[in-house]
Amino acid sequence: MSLAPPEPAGSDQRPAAGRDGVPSAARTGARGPVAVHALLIALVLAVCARRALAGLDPAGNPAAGASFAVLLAGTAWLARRRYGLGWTWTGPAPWGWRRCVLLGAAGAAALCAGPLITHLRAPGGALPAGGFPAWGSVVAAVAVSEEAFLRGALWRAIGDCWGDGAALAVTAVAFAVLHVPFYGPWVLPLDLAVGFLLGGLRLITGGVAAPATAHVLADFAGWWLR
Amino acid sequence: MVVAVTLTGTMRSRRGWWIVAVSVLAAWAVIGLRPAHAVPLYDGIGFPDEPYRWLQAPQGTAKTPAVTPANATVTVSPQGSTDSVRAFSAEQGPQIAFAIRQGALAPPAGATSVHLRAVATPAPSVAPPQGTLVSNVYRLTATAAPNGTVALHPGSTIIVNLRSDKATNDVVVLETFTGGKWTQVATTRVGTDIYAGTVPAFGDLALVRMDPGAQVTVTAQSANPFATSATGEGTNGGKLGQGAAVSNTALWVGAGIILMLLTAGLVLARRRMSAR
Repeated sequence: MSLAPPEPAGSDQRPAAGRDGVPSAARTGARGPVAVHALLIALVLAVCARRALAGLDPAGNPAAGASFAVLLAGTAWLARRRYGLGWTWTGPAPWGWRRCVLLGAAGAAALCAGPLITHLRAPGGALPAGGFPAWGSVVAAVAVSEEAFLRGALWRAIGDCWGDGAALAVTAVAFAVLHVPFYGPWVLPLDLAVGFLLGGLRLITGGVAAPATAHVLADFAGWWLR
Repeated sequence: MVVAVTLTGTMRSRRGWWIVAVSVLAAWAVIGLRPAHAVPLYDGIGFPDEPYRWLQAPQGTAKTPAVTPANATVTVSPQGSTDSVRAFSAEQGPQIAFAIRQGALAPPAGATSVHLRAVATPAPSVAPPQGTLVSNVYRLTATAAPNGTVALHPGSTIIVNLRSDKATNDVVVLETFTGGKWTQVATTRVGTDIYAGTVPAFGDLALVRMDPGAQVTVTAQSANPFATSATGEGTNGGKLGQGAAVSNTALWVGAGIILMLLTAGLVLARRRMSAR
């Protein structure tokens, strides 16, 4: 799979400024659609691999989840380092790490407000804190790798071809659809809304850190908000 | 040039804020329509369940803490009606949960509140025909305060979710035990190992894994957890027996079609790239 020529050694950092100040060597031209299709194929294959590995427990198999995270993160890393889809964690000023993380935390808080009200009215039983570290590390790995892939590499590839609007729509739909094999079709409405929210954070900041923070914290909250 | 980039960035940022605001409202609306205790899971790995807590542990099972009841108390209005109510047992992954809709309870005159309870009880000596118990037998009761028994209004039902001891692809059915006889109830798998059904009265109930070839006399309800799930853990529902397999087939076929379309798109895109 050849998306674009690898960059020369040592020149992987910001070779050219993109529309939001982020580098990309695979910008526009005929090469972009190839990258988009290749990334979507990689996503479908990763979802299939996770589903096949998961056995009877599609959503609850940590090994399958970890494998999925490795596949997505590896593809996102490859797209960035080898094929010039230069997505970044943070955006142009003033969106450095601190602001991105704070905005992501605010996004997670907004998402969790509804379930928090339900939980306070009638607690459904929190899980014990002792089990959290192992579970949380896999969940965080999956969430961050999904964001690196969707709001990083795939967003970059689509945005370079057809603009940020298309990137927002396609990544939000991909985010919702990729969860159907694990949680059922009824997750589509919620995950579509959340996909657009995470895309909105990406649009505001120009980087992956804010949506990744929101994604991880919203997932973590599920341990207590039952 | 700098001004143009700044304006573009500002417009993009403004659009992003609007998208975030609308998305949050949309997410809240969807959450409001989901069952009250559906896990706010946007992604990640399913929540691990602790080993099943048996009241009468089968041989060879590990020792576990004591099984817990599900309790709830609902106030009776001066007009004699009650609000909707839900209750969950305290295991990690509740082993039983139930929900009763508003106005479904028929408390006696003078009652101020109703206490609802689901507690594990020893299995009856009569085994379920053509099947094996894969959960504790739970007794659902309702008592009024200061005193009296409570029934359901005619036509009202109790939504029950039971967790089985482990995930299985075998047919699992919710059954009630009344008058020395087991009766199958239409059952929907609403989670990896969670089954939902509605029962028309308080009493004893349990999950039964049917023997191969056993006759299932009830049909599955909608697999939509919006309709029946009280706990909402996971939502990979499936109809009795073949549901999961059909679902898997549909998934693989769907994935295959998507892959074929994407591959065709990839080939076309590469041809266009070569032509240029």
